[in-house]
Amino acid sequence: MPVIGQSPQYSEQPLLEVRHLDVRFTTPEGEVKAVDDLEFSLVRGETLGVVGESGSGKTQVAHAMLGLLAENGRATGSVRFAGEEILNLPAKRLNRIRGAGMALVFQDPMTSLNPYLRIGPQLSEALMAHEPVSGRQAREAACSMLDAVHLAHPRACLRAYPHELSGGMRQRVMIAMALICRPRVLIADEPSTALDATVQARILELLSELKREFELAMLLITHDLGVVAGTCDRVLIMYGGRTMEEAAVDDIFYRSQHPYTRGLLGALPRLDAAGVSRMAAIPGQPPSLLEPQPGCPFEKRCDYRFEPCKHQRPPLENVSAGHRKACHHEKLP
Amino acid sequence: MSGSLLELRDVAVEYDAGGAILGRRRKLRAVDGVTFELDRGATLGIVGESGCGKSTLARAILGLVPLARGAVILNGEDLAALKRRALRARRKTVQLVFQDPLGSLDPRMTAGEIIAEPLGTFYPALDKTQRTEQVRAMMGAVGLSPAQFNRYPHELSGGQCQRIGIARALIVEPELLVCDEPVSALDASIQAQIVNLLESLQASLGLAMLFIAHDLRIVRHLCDRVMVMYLGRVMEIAGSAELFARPRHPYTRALLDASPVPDPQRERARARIPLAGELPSAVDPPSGCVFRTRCPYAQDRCIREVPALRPVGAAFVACHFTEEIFNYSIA
Repeated sequence: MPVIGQSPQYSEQPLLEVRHLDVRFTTPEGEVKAVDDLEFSLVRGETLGVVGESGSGKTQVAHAMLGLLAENGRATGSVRFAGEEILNLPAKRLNRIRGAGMALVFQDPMTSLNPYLRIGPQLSEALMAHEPVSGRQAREAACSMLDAVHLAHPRACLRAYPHELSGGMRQRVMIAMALICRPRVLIADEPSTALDATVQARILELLSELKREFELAMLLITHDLGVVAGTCDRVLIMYGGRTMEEAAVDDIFYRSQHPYTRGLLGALPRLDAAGVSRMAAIPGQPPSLLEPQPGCPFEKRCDYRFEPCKHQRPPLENVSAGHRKACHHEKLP
Repeated sequence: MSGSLLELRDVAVEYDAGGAILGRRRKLRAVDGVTFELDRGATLGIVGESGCGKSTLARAILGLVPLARGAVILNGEDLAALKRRALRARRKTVQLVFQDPLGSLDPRMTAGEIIAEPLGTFYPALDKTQRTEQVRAMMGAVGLSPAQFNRYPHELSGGQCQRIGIARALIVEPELLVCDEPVSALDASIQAQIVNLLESLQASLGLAMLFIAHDLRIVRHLCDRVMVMYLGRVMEIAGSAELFARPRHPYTRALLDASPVPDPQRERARARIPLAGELPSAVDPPSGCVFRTRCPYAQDRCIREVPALRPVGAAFVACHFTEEIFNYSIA
């Protein structure tokens, strides 16, 4: 069983392999590159946290993999699931992967459930769309899945409408819906962001438990490094569509070699800090994707910037085994 | 009469929950029995989850909802006793910063016009040059550049819009700033900028501040005192350092437990006791202690008897059994 914080062995073939992934959008103001040359892989039982602020491209990565990009969006590169190329597959073939291969939990549980349908039919529909089961079997599966996500009265819940449930309960329903086809990869896009603190803690706990129970690989997309600390094995930090740093969770928190990661860590409000000090804010504003920089996207806000940062794009290089960063500085002090 | 800036005495606010049963209208008591004082220049954090009444309380302090019971006293004057014109003049004393930075700004007005608007309301005698001068000075104080004077909100980032919201609140020189989740819609790197800005403005202007938030971590940075609310009632009030070091209410403890720690080793080591169950309906709250349905320590007495907010150590706590549950040796 994988232990949080220690990456599983890499000897096995990755379940998910992303290479040179670009996502572009055509907008009235010009072309926007939301994801720029992204590369990562995910093995069974592993949780990778994809961390970034709004506009960093983190959600578009998930959407590109599942063929959910908006109409003006276009993805290039390679996404292999269990060895098979799935990027830009026609919807029909992609539907075999969605659900049973990879499933997505959305951020907002209220707007991703159909308000006119009871929970039961929404859950069984998800299963029946992918597998040859009878309505009765699908209902039973829905009920046992609601039980697996610890909803107190699964049968009553099947008959409820989304508005009759609390935010936390709705998010449990969304997780049950994602898991009902027994996927191998679960992509959770800010699964706890819209929820209250105590509810958020329970949803994260649930995801960790289900990950072990169903032997899932998980991609946790979030803006909150605090959430990552307790749930992820590895972390990928994105900024302006690019990977800034990727490493095991402990390396990110204790041995980060990228100024942006360090900035994010410094800007975190903490309950565990000894005294109450001023928060170390990152100065400036996030970059505009409409005016891409030739150099490092973080250059304008970086305390460590020097000449090459402005003109040359820093390559993603190894710091140590399993730890990569895109920064011109060989070593940060 | 006390010398504090703001005083709430046993404040209750009710909303009509619709649907009459046997001819009696159902009431939702959003805030019930809140009492506290806020001195000039002091900061109080109000913390709790959705439905705890924290935003309703802010509306009550601003005089935007009628009180079902109790009184809001500002500078020694009971707001309910004031006539409309006098009330309007007092509004200058208390200003509000909203949660949604973009949604709370008029999209058809420029940054300069938005910040100047309250001056037109409260100081109609100012001429245009004087107004512009004040707006420019205020823009500088909140970290906006003069070049942004003629920008529209949609041309600016979330953090810059929130700076406009803060400038608009401060330009009439209020004594009390009420901030309702002012940073929760902002990105991490920008959040810290706005928190630091509020902190330095509060100190330099000697503002009193009510800071409403669900994020305990930010409240700890900004506030001298913290009030924890649950289902419309106060669970605990204490000095910030005291509350975070020695929570004395099971709900405070649950909130602290739920807050993620950005440290993987500590996260792995820590044992969480997650809060079970769902938030009860505010239309039909539990008898006795409202928190008892989710409290791991609840006993018979909690069903029968509403716990009073009473002094325990350096805090005020509404729990019958706090001494038994939290055995802090007296410092």
